[in-house]
Amino acid sequence: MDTAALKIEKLAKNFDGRKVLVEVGMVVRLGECVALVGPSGCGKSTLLRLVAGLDDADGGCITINSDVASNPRVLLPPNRRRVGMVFQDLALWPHMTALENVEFMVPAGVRGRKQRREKAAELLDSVSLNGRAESVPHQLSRGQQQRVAIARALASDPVLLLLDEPFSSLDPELRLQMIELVHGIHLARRLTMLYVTHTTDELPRLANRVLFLRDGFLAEVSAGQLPAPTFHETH
Amino acid sequence: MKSKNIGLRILTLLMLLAGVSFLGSCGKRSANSTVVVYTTHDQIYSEPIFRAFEEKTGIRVDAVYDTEATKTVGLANRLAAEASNPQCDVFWNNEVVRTVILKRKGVLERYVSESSRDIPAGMKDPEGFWAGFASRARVLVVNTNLVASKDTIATFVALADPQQQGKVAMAYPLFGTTATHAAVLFSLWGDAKGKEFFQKLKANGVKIVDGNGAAKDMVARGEASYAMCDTDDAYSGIHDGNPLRMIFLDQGTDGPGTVVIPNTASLVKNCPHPEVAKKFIDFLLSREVEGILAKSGSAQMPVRAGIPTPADVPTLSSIKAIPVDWEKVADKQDEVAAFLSDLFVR
Amino acid sequence: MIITLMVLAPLGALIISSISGGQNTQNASRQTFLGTQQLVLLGRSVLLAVMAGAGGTMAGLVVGYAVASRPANVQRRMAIGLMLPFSIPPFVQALVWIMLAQMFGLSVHGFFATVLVLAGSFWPIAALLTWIGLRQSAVNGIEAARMGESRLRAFTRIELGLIRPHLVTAFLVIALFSFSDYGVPSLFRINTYPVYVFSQFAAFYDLHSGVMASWPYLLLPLVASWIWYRKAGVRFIQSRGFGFRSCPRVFSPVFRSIWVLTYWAAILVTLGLPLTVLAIKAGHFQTYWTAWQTAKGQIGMSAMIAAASATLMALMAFPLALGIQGRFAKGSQLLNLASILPIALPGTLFGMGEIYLWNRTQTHWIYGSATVVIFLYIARFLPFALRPQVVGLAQIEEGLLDASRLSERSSFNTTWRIILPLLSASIMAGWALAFMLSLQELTGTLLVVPPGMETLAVRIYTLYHYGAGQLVAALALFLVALSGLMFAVLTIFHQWIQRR
Repeated sequence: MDTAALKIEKLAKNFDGRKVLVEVGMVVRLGECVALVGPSGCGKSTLLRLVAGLDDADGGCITINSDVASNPRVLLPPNRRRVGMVFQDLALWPHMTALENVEFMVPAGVRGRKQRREKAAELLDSVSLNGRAESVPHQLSRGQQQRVAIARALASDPVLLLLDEPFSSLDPELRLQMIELVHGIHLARRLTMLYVTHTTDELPRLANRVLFLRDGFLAEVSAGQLPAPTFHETH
Repeated sequence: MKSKNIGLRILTLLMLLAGVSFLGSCGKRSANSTVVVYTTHDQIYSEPIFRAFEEKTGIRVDAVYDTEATKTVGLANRLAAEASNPQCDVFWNNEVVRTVILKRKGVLERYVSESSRDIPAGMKDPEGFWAGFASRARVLVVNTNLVASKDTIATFVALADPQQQGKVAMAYPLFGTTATHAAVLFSLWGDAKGKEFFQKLKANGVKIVDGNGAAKDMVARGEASYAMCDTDDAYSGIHDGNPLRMIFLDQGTDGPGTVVIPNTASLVKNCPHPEVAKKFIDFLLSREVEGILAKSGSAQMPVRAGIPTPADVPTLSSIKAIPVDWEKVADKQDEVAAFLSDLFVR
Repeated sequence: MIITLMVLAPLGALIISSISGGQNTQNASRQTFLGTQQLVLLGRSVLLAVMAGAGGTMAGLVVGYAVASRPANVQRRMAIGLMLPFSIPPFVQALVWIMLAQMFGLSVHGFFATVLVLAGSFWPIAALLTWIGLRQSAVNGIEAARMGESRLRAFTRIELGLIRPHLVTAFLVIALFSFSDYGVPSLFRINTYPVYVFSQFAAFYDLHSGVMASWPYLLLPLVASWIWYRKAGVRFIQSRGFGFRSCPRVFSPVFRSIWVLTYWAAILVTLGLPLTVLAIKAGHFQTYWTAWQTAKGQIGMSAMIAAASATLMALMAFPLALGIQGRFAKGSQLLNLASILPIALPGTLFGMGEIYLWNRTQTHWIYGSATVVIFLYIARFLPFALRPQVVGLAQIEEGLLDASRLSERSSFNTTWRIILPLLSASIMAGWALAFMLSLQELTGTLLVVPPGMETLAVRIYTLYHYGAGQLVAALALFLVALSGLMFAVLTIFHQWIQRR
C-alpha cells in the first residue's frame, strides 16, 4: 500500500528564464510533518504553491494521496486536491467574521447552513478561539488571526496541510504557543504537514524530517547539518 | 452581530434600480393620436404652437428639438440617417437650405397643403415639397452706447471696413441662418467678391461665437459694437432692456436688400402617421399660426399680407428683401461651407 | 462578447454605413487626412489636452496629498467631497466663469481660459488617484525614507515614485477628456479638432468625411494606452500596499492647516463658487419654481435614464473586469484595449451609430423608446464603469483570491461572497461616474432621444442658446443637486453594507 501522502517527481519551475526549481523530488508519508528550509528566495513558497495548485509547474508530477494532481497532461484545480493552506500573510477575508472565514471552506458535502456554521464553530474552538467568532480580522490580534487561518485551513478536511512560514513575525511567546498548537493538531489528527520556515529552532519539536532547498535542488538534511544560530553575549 | 450578505445587498439594489428606471423610462405611442415633429425652431416659441394644435385637434405632438449652439449633427442629419425607417412625420425647419438638401436626398414627400395656396410663390417649393411661413430677416444689432446713430453702418460690406476692426461679432458661418446668409451672399455677389468679403472680415478680427443669440449677447454686453443675427434674436435682446438697436441693412435704392428666411414645413417620406402629419402641416401653414408667431417673442414676419402683427414687427412689404432662388443657394452651400470652414475653423 | 459588441457595434455600423453609402462632397480641396487645417486644429487640440492634463494632474496631486495627510476617518469624507465637483459638467463650469466675468464687466475667452477650465473640471480625477495611490503605498517604505531624507526629498524621490502610475493614469484620462471636449472650447471661442469633425457632419452633411476625420479619437487612446502600459501598467499593480491601512503623515500644526486650507480652497473654487454664481444668477425663488414646473418631466426622465444606464453598466462591467484581470485569459490584454478605445470618441459618432444599428422595423421597440438612449450611454460610458472595477480587482491582495480557490465552493459562490464584497467600493465608484456622465451627455442624446422626451442637459443647452440665463442657472443647480443626491444615497448604502 502506498503510504505517500505527497509525492513529487522531477518538479520544475522557471520565472523569467530563471530556474527556481530544478527536477525537485520528494515524498511525504502519511502522518509525517516535513519542514522545508532554505535561504530567502530559493523557491520554498513556490514549491508550496505548486503543491496547492495555485501555480502551474513547468515540468514534473505531483501526486496527492495517490491521485495525480499535476503532470504534463493533468492539472487538478486547487479546490479538488484536498489540501489546506495557511498563507504567510494569513489572507483572511477582511469583510467576513472569523466564523464566516472558516465556514466558507467547509466542504460542499456538509449540507445546511446550520451544520456548516456548527462545524466552523467547532474548528474555532479547537484552536481556542471561542468567544471571538463574530469578530472581523482587524478586530483580532495577530495570534488570534493566525488561529483563524489555521482553523480555516482545517475546515476542508484536508489530507495535506501546507503552512507558509507560520511562525515568522511572531514574538517568542506567541511563537511557542503556535508551535504547540500546530504540534497538537499534527498529533491529534495524524495530519500530514509540509511547512516552510526560515527559522530552525522549532524543528526538533515539530518536524519528523527536514528538507533543504537551494539553487533549485532539494536535499534531505538532519537538524545537525543546518547552520546553527549564533548567540552573542549581551553583557 | 449577525453577518450580512454584502453581495446580495449590492445586487438587490442594482437590480431594483435597473428595473424601476427601465420601466419608468419606456413608453409607447398610440398610432392615431400622435404626430411626431422634428423642429429647429426655438423651443420656447414652437411649444405654444404644438399646444395650440393639441387643444384644437386632440392629437398629441411629440417633438424633437434642435439646438444651434451645440453644433451637433442636427436634426437634418438625423432625418437623413433615419430615412430607411422614418420616425418623424413633419420637419419644421427654421430656414430653407437644409430643407432643400433633404428634398434632394429623398427624405421628403410632396404635399401641397390647402393652407399654402396664398403663400407667395417665392416662399414655397414649386414642386410642392415644402412651404415657407413666418419669416425672419437677417439684421444688424448695434450697441447704442458704443455707436451713435449717425455713425451706424448701413450696408453689409461696411462690416469689413478697417474702421470696424475688432467690433463685429458673428455666429459660426457654417451653421444655421448665418450659413444660409453666407450662401445667399455668394450666390448674389459671385465667388470672388464673396471670398474677398469674408477674408476681410476675418482680417478685421471678427469675433466668432456660438450662435446668433451669443453674438447678440456680446453686443448687449458691450464686448462688440455690431453683430449679425436674426430679427427674433434682436427683438429678444431689445425687449430685455439691453442698449440695442436693430437695423435692416442695404435698404437704400442701390442696396440689394437684406436676406429674409422663412420657416419651412415639409412632410417626411414614408412617415409613420401620414394623415395626422398632413393635418399638422395644414395647421402650421395657417394664417392663425403666422399670427401667433408674429405676436410671440420671436416676432416672426408673416409671409402673407393682411395678418395682424404688433406695431414693432415690420411686414415683409416694408423691407427690401433679396430675391432668393433657394435651389441655387443650396447648390452653393457645400462650396461656400468648405471655404468658410478653411477660413474660420483654424 | 455581448458586452464588447454593445460598445463596438454602433461604431461598426457607422463605419460600414459611411463606407457603403458614402457621400463624398464635390469639393476636392477638402482632405480627410492631414491637410493644413486639420494639422493646425489637431495640434491645438493636442496642446490643449496636454496642458489641461498637466495642470489638472498637478492640482490633483497637491489636493490628493492634502487628503492623504489627514487621519483615516477624515480621509474618507474628504475623498467623497472630491467627487462632488464632477457633478458640474465642464460646459457649466465655463458658463459660470463667463457669468462671473460679466458681473465685473470683464470678458473671459481664449486658449488659456480653456486650459484652466478644463484642468479645473477634471482635477478631481488626479486627486482621487493620488489619494488612492498614497493610501496603498507601503507605509514602511515611506517611513524608511523619512529616516534618512528631508520631507521634501522623501516625497520627490520615494512617494512620487510610488504613485507615478496613478499620476500617469490621471494625466492620460484628463488629456483624453480635454481633447474630445467640445463645449468649453466652443464657449471660449477657440477652434479645436472636434469643431472640424462636427462641421463635417453638421455643415457638410458628409457622414463619410466625418467618420474618417474622427481617426484621432481612436488613435489617441491607443497612444495613451501604449504610454500607460509602458509607464504605469505593471508598476500600477506592484504598488499595492499591505491592505487598506492609511499612511498618516505627521506634520506640524502649520502644515496641517495649510493642507486643510488647500483642500477647501480647491473645493470652493470648483464647487462652491460655481454653485454660488449659479444661485446668484438664478435669483429669486420664483425662478426655481418656474424651472421645476417647466422641467420636472425632464429632471425625472434624466434621473431614471441615467440610473438605469449606470446600473446596467455596473452589472456588465463586473464580468468584463474579471475577464481583463483573468490571469490565464489569453484575450485579456485585447479586451483591456478594446475597453479603452471608446473613451475619447465624441457622442455624435455613437449617436449616429445607434441610429444605423437600431432604426429598423424589427427593433422599433428599442429605437422608439428610451432604451436606445440607455444603449447609447452604455456604449459611450461603459469604460468608465469598468475602469474602477479593473483597478479594484488588481488591488485585491492575491492571497485573498488564492485562499478562496482552495475552497470547494463554486466559482459563482466565490465571486458572490469574496470578490463582490471586496469590490463594492469600486463598483459604487464606477456607478457614480457612469451616472454623472450619463446625466450630462448631450451630443449623442440629441440624435437618438425619442420624440416627446428630453433630458435635462439638452434642456439646459437649449435655454442657454436663447439667453435664458436665470432658468439655465436654476436648471444647472438641479443637475448638480441630482448628482449630489445620488452621491448621498450611494454613500449611505455603502456605509450600511460595510457596517458591523
